[in-house]
Amino acid sequence: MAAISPFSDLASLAKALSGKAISVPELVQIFLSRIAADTTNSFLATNPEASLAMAASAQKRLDSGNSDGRPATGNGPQGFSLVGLPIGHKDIFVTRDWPTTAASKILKDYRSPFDATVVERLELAGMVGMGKLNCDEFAMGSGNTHSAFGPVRNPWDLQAIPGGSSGGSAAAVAGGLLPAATGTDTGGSIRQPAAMCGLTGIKPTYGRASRWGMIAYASSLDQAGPIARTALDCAVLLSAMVGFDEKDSTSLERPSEDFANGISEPVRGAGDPRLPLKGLRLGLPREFFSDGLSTEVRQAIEAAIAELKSLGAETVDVGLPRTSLSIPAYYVIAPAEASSNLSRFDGVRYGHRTAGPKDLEDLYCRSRSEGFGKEVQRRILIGTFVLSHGYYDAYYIQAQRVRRLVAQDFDAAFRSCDLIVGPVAPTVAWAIDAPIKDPLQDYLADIYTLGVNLAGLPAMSVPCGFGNGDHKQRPIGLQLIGRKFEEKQLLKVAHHFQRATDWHQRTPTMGASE
Amino acid sequence: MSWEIVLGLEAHVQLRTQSKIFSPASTAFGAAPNTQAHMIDMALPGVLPVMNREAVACAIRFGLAVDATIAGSSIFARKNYFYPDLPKGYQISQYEIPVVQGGAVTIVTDQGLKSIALTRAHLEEDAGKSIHEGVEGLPQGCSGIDLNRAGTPLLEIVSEPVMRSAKEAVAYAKALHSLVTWIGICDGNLQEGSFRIDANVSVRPVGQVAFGTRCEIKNLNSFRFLEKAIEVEALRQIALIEDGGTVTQETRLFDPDREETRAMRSKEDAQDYRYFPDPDLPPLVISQDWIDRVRSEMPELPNMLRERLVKHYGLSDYDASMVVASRDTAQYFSEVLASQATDAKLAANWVMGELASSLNREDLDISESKVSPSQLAGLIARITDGTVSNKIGRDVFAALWSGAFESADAAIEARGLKQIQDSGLIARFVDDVIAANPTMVEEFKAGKEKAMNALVGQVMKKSQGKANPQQVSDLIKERLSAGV
Amino acid sequence: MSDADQQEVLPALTSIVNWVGELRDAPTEGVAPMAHPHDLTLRLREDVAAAAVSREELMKNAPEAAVGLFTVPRVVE
Repeated sequence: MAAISPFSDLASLAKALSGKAISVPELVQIFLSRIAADTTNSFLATNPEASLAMAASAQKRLDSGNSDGRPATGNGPQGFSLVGLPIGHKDIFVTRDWPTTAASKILKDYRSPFDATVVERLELAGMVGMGKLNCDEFAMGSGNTHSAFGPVRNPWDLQAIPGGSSGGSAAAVAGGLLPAATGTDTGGSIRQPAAMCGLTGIKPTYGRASRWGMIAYASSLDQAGPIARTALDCAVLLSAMVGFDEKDSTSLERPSEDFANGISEPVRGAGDPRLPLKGLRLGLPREFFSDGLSTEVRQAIEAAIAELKSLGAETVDVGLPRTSLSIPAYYVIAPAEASSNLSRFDGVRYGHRTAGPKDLEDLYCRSRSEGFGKEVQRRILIGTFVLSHGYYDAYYIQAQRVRRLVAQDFDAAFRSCDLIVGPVAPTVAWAIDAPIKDPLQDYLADIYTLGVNLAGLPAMSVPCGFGNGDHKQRPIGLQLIGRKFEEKQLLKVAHHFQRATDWHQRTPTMGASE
Repeated sequence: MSWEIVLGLEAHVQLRTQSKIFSPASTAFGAAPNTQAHMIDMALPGVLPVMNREAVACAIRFGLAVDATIAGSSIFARKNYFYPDLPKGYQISQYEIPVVQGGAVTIVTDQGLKSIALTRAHLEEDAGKSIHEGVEGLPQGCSGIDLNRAGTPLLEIVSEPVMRSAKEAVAYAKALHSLVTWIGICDGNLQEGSFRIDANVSVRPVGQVAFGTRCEIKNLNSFRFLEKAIEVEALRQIALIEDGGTVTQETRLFDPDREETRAMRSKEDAQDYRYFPDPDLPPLVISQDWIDRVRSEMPELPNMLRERLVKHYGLSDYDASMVVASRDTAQYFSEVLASQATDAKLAANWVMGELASSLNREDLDISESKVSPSQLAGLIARITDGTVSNKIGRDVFAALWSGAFESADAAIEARGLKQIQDSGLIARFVDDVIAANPTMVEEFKAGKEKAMNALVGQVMKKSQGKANPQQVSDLIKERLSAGV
Repeated sequence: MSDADQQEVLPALTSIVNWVGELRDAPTEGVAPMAHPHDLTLRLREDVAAAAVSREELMKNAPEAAVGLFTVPRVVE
């Protein structure tokens, strides 16, 4: 049996546990020690006692042969049991065992009386909760520099951002503090940090994962998803995370799916095993390959596409003409919904309350301005503005119309291809201490990811290279975008890519040079 | 200057569901503070709303009862504002596309029937309660927030501004109140806040077409207060304008002790609620099938019953509308008519008169009446056929109410209350009374009507009330004009 | 927001709002607004009251409470 390390994927760890090479408590303890020594500021809360208690029950469950009915080994590509495997949760998911802050001062010390459905499902599957992960405050940001509890550092290059808003989730996995973590994606917040940390992440079709217990940022865009080391890991995690939840009125009623089932098979049935992607048409949107894309990212993406072609795929040019419009549309819709979703944070029933308020208005104003960071305040103001009387039609409704056009662009593109591929972000991770620029610059960097959320499509990030020169230690991710409900195909393509390449196996300790 | 009052009413009707509109917490009244506030009602981070089917069914019933259009697809919108009894910082309501559109409610006025048009009715959630004083343990200078009521389903019913007097407004409010209890969507309990009215009041010179500036008087929970509040507010506005001032559009509260309205201190009037469709709730679709099913399960509506009573039983609009004011009353009344052929007008008088006061006296619902419909029908039959007079009838009623007798006949028999039919006996009483009361006779002959009443009274006394007063008075007239 | 904070935020806000204004020139005639990626309809829940909730548990995060009520500075209507 291969030796396991803190950088092993879930499949390997599952094999080690079932083969009794290590016990759950031992495994958990290894990660707890690494977490305690963390220099990336990925974690906001841990509860070793609770984690070890979960580890003990998981071990009992493994011992009594009562896994969740899935094969206990990671031998074949048919999935593995999640019993006993460690997981960390983005601090956007409410949990009973740890405080939930949404990385905001306004929720400091908040203790939820219930668990998010996603957390509950992974716990039922036997996973051991390891703690809450740092992120951009209320998931608003692309670099995890907007947390009230300090920025997260990229374990590949501690001077660089890990990406955001699920920066803590990505950094923890990339740094070997966890084998996997949950994240949320409203405009790219799973895909972009996964890309910048050399990890695999997937955002499912809107409505697949329940939003019950996921602190709302933009309700019509938010989705939960896993960040892990491989496509197979993501497939198994995703299968456990998603599913209809009657407590979420936007949850989709679909039969449950095993995304790992058949993941190693070729996309178009039997054929040459060396060409598993034969018959697959990859759409390359010309707008994703234009001026804004940095050279080093372009190179890595083009190399990845060449790899996919060598596996049998064909490419076809497609157009997504409203790509650049998707940015202002997103930055109207998301802040609008957020401004309303965040109104409940008023210091009355929970959270930060200002000291000695002289009246009600004072209570609201000071609690909120003390509790919310600058980026959150900015977005609330934008959101309030675009919903206000006289502007609502010109901004909010107009943005919703553009949204439909963006979705139609994807529909049209998918008539001539099966999957869309391209970059996740225009550049590699930038420096944490980069001079403060116009927030607009940050917003523009979301250009390739936002449209996916507007249209509600599933999308993945798969590691495919590194930057050049000074950026040798800054990973690059390939984005795969699928039609609604075609997560399985995305994961399959990613899996085959990962069988043919080893980007996903690189770790910061090994370095990136190649 | 002659003034006209223009009134539109908004009613907030709490729907009779077991659980709240968006959460499974109970809606029962009177629980200890915050024990019926689900985490959804408390707006804890991460919660989401899920719609109560029965609340929608109530809205459909209402739409059918007022002959309105029921929207095949309607949207829930967020009404954003900050207030401590509004946990989410927004109320989930309906804005551009409500579930019920149009419709009308019929009221009875001095000039006959009038149809009051409705603009719309929509579903929304109730807010919690702020308590400012009178609670032991509430620190000085604090208000306490109880979220038990937060999330209770409401149907907000908006009338067109077509009422022109406080009386009309009260008639409308009462008709609406009895309609929503009739169809079972509301328990109608005014004290518990199940039915609350906001009145939009404005004035304009008679003949002016444009509306004056209106003020909204909120949260009136009694018909008496509604009437008074409208009256004082109209006077206030008229006085203000006549003094050279202008009416500011604002929200006001009625102070029943001082009998005046005063402006609320909140800045609600300058509010932009920034309505937008709630992204947590997809559109509500109501199929024609569902509407048809609800329609088939609805009882006969008060309007229809009222028309029937007028057409087939000859009741006046007023009497008919009194009978249909409550479903239980209408039920009782129908049973009276059904148990035996009965004079409907008499039946209406008895139900709204003697029966009603007996019920009120003992604080009973008509469903708890100690005289059953068939017993009352039996009594009315005996009055109609002359066995007893109306006055003796009341004694019979009292006997039945006390439970001493099973039927009117039994009571009449046992107490010997039969009206005297024997005209010879009556004639003897009349002669005796005329002989014994010469002064009265003189006064009557002199033209004093009152004297006749006195004479009749004497005969009634002599007969222990068992004579027929009409017969007596005819006989006296006959005797006296014959110059005996 | 304090005046100082307002000063800081205003230029950023203005530039964002201006930029977002480009949206207004986008040709969208005849296009219906899209509130959700899917054409969902509202799912309805059966009207059943759940057991009474634990007030202590739900109010444990309250910054200030007394006699079972959340307390705030006195509200004057």
